[in-house]
Amino acid sequence: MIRLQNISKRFPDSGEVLANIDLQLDQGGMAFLTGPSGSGKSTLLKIIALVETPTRGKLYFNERNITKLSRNNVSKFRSQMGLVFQDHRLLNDRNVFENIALPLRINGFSSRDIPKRVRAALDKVNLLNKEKSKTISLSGGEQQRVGIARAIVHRPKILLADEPTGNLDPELSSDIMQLFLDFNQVGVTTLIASHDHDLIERIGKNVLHLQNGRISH
Amino acid sequence: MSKLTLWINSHKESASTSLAKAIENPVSFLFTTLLIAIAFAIPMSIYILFSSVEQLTSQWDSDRQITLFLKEDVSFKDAKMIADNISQQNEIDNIKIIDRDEVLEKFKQESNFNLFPDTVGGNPLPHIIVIAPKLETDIQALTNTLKTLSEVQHVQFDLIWFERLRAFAKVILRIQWIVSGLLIFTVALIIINVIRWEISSRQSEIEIIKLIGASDAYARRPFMYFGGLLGLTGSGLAVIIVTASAWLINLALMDLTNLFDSDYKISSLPFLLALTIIILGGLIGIVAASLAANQRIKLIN
Repeated sequence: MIRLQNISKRFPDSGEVLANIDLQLDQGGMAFLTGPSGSGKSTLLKIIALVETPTRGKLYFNERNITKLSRNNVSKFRSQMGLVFQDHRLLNDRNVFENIALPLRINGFSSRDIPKRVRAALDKVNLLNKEKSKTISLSGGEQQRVGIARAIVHRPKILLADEPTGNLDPELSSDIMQLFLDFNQVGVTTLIASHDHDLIERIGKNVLHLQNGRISH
Repeated sequence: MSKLTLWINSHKESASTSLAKAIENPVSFLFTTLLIAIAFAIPMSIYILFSSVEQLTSQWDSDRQITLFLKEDVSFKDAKMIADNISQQNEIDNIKIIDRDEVLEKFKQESNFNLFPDTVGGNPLPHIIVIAPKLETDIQALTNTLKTLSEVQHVQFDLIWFERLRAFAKVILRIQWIVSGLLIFTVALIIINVIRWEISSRQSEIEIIKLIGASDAYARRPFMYFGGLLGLTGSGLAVIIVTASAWLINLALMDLTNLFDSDYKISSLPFLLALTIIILGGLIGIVAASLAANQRIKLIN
């Protein structure tokens, strides 16, 4: 479904972060991306989400080259993805409900369907009672879960998550991982960057290890 | 879901978001709206001034006439010749000669005094030619030509100041167009400025919604609606201000015109024009806001 071919990324001030990455994610597949901090996990996810453009190499989605899409097509592509960001990226002046409803609004769901779907997503991350809270009043872990709910609410085809359990206690972490597994079960292609090795090992899925800008399996 | 429903849903949401934005920050919304309203009200007031002067001059159009008092020694036959010449050479609606003998006769019948001819000896009155020029005639020029005729003693055109008023009205009309243009431009600039400021204060919000798949058009839409709302409320408020002002002036004018035995009123804003201005306000708002938003949002990645 997603194929990276010889992808490199160089930043002017930090040099080459990714070097000649080849990677394939099959439809309905699930993989974990591990590696020390600064190894380029976030950059790799951003390249797949078309947030960063690679310095060299090509990116394919269903065998279509998507390395250089127009602004409009980038938006279209991204609206079918679920993205979980390390720094949550929530709208702080709006409540939890409105934050989670955003992808639905962008995709033009009617205001009748939205509450049902938002509550279903809230239920999955165990935050039903926080619907009306402003995101700024939530703890780090709660904000992270709002970010996850927002990423899954519109049933994306691909889910990319950058350290989704970084701020969560072990019990909640394994709940969230179970959530991702459930999603993957119904066919959502999933790539998760994480350094929670114990958890990843227990799950037993494909692990891609990034080190010095290269992948070792 | 069809594409159209998607599109309608998304527009509905943007419209309600922009309305919410206005309610959320009523003071700054009111200030901007007032600024826009004043900018709209100025050319509208000039329009009312213009059409009031226009109305006043057209009321007096029927009275436009030039009176020629001929020299005493000019005979009726000569007077007729002069009149013929004048009507051939100039744009004239109507010309007539008032025979001094007829006038004297009438004067004798109507007055009880029969002293006049006896004391003076002969008819002291001159022949008079009354000219009603066509509307488009340059009265000033015509009057000047008539003054040069050797048989003419005196040319009288009492309404010359009215011609000046008419010319003045033309100037007002020209001023009105220029001021309208400038102030429409001002309204656009006000809205562009507000939208630019709105966008930069919501930069991170736009970044986030772009990140989760919002198109430029989607990100731009609430600002477009907000601009439209500003323009619409501003021009609506301007219509109210101008209509209320005209009403207040007429109220004061009533005492004055009563003294002059007239029912003159300054013009009010025609309904259709008011409607056009309100719609125009909304359109200017939408166009200005999309211009500003287009340019700003493209910079956000």
